[in-house]
Amino acid sequence: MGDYEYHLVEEVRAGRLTRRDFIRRASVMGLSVSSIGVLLSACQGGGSGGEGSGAPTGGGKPKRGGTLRIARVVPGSDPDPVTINDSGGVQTVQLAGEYLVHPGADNVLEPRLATKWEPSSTPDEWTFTIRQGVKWHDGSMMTVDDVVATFDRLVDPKTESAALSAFEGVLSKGGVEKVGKDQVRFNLDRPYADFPYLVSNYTFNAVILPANHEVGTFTEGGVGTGPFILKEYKTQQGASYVRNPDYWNPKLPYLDAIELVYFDDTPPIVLAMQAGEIDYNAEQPFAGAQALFEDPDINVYVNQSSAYRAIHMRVDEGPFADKRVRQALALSLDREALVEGLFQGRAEVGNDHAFAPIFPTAPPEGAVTQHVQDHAMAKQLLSDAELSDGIDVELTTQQFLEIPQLVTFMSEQARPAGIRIKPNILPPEEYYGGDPSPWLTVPFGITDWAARGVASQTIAPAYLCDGVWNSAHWCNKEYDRLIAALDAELDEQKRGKLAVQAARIQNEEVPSAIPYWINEMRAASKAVRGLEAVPRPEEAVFWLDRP
Amino acid sequence: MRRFLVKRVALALVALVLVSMLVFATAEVLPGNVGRTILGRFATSEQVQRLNEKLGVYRPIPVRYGEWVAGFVTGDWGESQLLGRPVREVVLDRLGNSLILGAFAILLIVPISIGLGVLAALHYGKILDRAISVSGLSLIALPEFVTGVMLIVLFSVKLGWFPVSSQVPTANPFDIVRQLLLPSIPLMFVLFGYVARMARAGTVEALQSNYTRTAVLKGLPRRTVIWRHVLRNSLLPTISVVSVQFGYLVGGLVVVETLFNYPGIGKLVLDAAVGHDLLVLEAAVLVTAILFMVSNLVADLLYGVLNPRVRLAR
Repeated sequence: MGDYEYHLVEEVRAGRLTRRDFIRRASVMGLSVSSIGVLLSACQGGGSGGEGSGAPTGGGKPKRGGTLRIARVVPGSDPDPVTINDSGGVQTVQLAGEYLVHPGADNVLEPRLATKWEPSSTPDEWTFTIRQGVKWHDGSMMTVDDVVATFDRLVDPKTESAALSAFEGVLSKGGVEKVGKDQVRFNLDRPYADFPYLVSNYTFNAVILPANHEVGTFTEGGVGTGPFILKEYKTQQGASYVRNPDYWNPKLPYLDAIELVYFDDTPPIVLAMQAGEIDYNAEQPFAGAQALFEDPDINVYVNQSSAYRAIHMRVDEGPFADKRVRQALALSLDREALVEGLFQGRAEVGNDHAFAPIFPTAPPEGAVTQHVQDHAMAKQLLSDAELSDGIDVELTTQQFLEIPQLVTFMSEQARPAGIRIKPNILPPEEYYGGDPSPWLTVPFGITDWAARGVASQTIAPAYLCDGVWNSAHWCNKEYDRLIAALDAELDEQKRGKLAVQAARIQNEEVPSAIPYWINEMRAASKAVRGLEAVPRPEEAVFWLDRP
Repeated sequence: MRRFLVKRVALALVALVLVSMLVFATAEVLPGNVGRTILGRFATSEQVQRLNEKLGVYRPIPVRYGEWVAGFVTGDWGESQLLGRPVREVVLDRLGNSLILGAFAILLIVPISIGLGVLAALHYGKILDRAISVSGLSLIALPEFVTGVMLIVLFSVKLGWFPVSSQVPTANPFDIVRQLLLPSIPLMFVLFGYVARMARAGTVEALQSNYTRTAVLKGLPRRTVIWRHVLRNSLLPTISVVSVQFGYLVGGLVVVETLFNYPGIGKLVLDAAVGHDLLVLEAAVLVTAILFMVSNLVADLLYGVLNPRVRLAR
């Protein structure tokens, strides 16, 4: 047992680390399933080993065959792994493409195209062992050079890589090298204890591609190593996939084929699911899904996630430059009412710091003062800021899912505190378009953030001084230092303490109010088996039991 | 007649040039740009600028417009920057789909609307007339997305008679009705009140005219009076209304196409506009405009055929 393993076992024995967090942490550090099992028995003197990467069956013995019909919102442009940035494009790519590692249940990392991974002690060097004998859909062999080329392409500022900002400050061009015949080493710009999440599908674009891949050719079909082969792509209408007979895991997939159908919007998907024309929608927003909860033929899978809305307030100019005004806004919100009113409870209350409840580093209850609605205190803060008459502010955001309703709720909740909100709701392409975009320049805005695997992934682009998507223009050196220390730290106790310190600063400074963390929802017909309420379900383990 | 045609075609060409210029200009003021659409919100500004440069977005408008016109008239419509497909193929494919749906809808709407409009006129002032007029007006007030959802919930989800997402039908007549009937009904609701009112008004006027009275007085059977004297005169304004609506049906199907997930040109125009896919937008708008003008021209010619007075006047 190495020092690090010993440390983890000690943490579990002392009750400072739950069994679940232990398995997750061990998986990030690249410990194999069997060694995790051995360690767990060391912790508890017995007990079952890790569940491993075996296929969940969702009840019963999987049946082979059948065609799964998936619905998704139409991609905004021709999907390619390097450029995808919306839900439709991601789904189109992920059926055929694969990543080095995969976040399974509880975000425990599982091997895919990498079989093993290991950090240096610092941890600013990560070595991944690449699975051998994997065939591309065209029959040729995947090599380590392909993996190196994939990441070189993603971090090259001269390409159209949509992942450039995800790797910003962590991995730069030239940082990836081939080691021996089956290993790849990532030489990071700074220590990053959670690096494997950046090469999982939490970075959509990190699909392993052939070294000679040309951006824009994915939809011609036959690109990837995944369980399904893209056979036909019909522009703006859908795509057909067939089972990959040479998939490296010979047991998978169970399905013979997948039909992906694009819809322009979610409401028609809900209707098509109710009519039994669609089996599965992997991204079902709560808005409009109420009918599905009541449908006896449909299961809705709900899992906690780190997706959220950031109500950013610019700290460098405008009405929110005074910290007390930002705090007043935070204290004017009734978060429980928002969770109930917007999601009927299917969200977790947020506390204006970026450590989502599902992140292993989330501060324990009570460690950071929970912001609750307190109009008297909010008024006091405003009058301390010499704004006893209250303020009038324009809130700029986008027409997207529940956000317009959130604005309405917010206006109602903030008015008694003296904050009078004037909504300015734009189409998403306007809010995120233009140069510079409104979402990065307006003094007061709401931005939707998708789920990430670990806190650093959420924090780095949005809250660090040099963050590319820091819409609040917030810069706190101490916060930056704590996050950098957290990323470099392997000791679980120290990690926990650093996270609490950082969360307290963010909670106090309120660059963004974070009222809630949204549960992810997926809807599937009851015939779909093998699907579970996990962060990233894989169609490879789905099977159909049609009546 | 020939002079009339030449004049009309020349006018149409001028209109098309103006439309194409307008589309180019409008695309400039729409928020966002094509590079941002392709790369998404998380790409850096430098990446977006580089891609836009590569795609030639920053060159002067007149230069791009000139190139586009030269390509368009020689049949080279370019490649969609967003979809990575030849524009011509995408646009003509979608136009064909919309024409199929539009034609089916017209075949459904016109006889029913005119029939009921005439029926209302023949029962002028009576309960049937009131019922038809009021229901026509009420249906105009119901937007397509409301009626469409109600129809889908009732006939597709609850009863399962029709598909929720309509595909382009095969040649099988059963399949044509199955795929296209439901999306056509919300369109009928919108157009029914309009067309029926025109038909009713025309018929009422014709019924009160001197020639009808003469026909009745000289002892012609009622059926002959209506078919030979009333309808022939009363339907003229209706025909021009219908022809204008055909253009709307093909180009303005965005809501219905979205709701029924039907791959038509209306939705293509919207997506191209939102995503700044200028070549697709131009081509799609122009073919729709051409179709609109052709259907208007056909209507005018038909008008002339049906009404000798107009024919002589021109």
